[in-house]
Amino acid sequence: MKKFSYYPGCTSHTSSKEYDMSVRAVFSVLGVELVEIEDWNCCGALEVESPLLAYALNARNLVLAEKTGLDLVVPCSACFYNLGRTDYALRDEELRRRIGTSYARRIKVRHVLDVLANDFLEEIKTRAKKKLDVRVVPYYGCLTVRPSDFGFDDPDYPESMDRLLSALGADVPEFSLKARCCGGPILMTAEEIPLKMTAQILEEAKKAGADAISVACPLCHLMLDAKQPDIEAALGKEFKMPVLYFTQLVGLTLGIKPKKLGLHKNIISTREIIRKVLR
Amino acid sequence: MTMRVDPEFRGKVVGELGAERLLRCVQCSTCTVSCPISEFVDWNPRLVVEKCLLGLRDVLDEEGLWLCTSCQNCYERCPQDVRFSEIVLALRRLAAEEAKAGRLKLESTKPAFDECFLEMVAKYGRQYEAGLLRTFAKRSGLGFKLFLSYKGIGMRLFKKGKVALRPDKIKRVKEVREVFKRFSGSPSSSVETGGEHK
Repeated sequence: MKKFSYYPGCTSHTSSKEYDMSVRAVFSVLGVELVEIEDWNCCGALEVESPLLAYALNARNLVLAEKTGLDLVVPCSACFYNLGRTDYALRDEELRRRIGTSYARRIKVRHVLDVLANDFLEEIKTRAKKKLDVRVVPYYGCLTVRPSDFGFDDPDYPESMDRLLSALGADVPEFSLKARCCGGPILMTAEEIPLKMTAQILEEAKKAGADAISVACPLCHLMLDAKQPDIEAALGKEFKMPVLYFTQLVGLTLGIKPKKLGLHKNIISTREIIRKVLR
Repeated sequence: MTMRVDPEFRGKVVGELGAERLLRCVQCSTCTVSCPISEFVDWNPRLVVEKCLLGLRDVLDEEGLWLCTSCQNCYERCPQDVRFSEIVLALRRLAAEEAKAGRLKLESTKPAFDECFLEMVAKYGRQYEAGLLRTFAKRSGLGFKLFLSYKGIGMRLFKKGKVALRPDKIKRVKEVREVFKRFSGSPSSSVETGGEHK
């Protein structure tokens, strides 16, 4: 049985429960075991100003992951950024000494999108029970694909999610804002700016005639989904745009029950999408 | 506008971890045209670098310093690999130092937010949003106003069972506190004493 180690990240217990649920459900159907790393700590998200502190916090997680001997899979893009850049920086022996870590870079740090789109595309296609009969706009945000030092896709115009979703039958239009920032990291300290940034993405998705937006990051999801009613109120506009984790869409085509994918946990109703895929 | 030139400032920035590549800048503006924030506020990354190079320490007052979302566009696209997003972090550290010494007043609530965020991590090993909000409301001086502004999203998440009502503390939180003690002066010390630090 194929195995990966798994770093769920703090939001997997709170705002992004449905991401964690759908990731676990999809891997389980694919016959892949995810081994949650023991006693992992917060990656520091984007609130760490000191690089050394960021590296040290994440080196602890990398050591725990390395103990399993399994490549590490990460769903959250901010966690992926921190774990990825730490792994990348720790190529430097001097830095490893300075941090005082035993991490030896014997494992790889990978985003869930990378693993599913690049390792399991054929497997998913073979096992698909339903056609993803929706028009869906792919949104990657920033840290899923940048920086490309340790990335897996194009940093300006990524296509792995496009490929995965269209292989499952989705109608995936070109989307010029797919790697544009949603502003999430400054939501709590300068709210009016991220509201405008996320509004642009919602407007463009609407213009593209999307039935839904597909995302790969809990913070992007929070902005586009949970903040959507506030953006509608601020703009005096209605979007009613479902925002799904790409793993929820993949899970639906694999025939996984909507409830197991946490589709009742999204703020904007996903009912219409479920209906279109399962009909 | 008075311009205070400090001949030591450029060297000080370059000496910060992550900002070593400042002197490579050729002032091409790729960072500025790539910055999603400069669309909304008066924030010009190229000019920030120029000010650093000229020793204009007023750059530490820039509002945009605390609005960077770390989107990594500038880092990714710079033809000289200056790594501007890392320079932003270095300038934030310098600004925080100045503020601590009473030489600068920080208008943004972002430094307080980051501080509260990391205190939660040092305390539990993981993030605890409810605790973070309480501490941030107090420290930022926003108090109840903060809860009012985010009431909508808070309720929406709560109704979907997406708010944790108690912290998720890891077993060996000591190891995380040790990391804080070694690599940053502040959050761990406040946890040790159990109080707030100003």
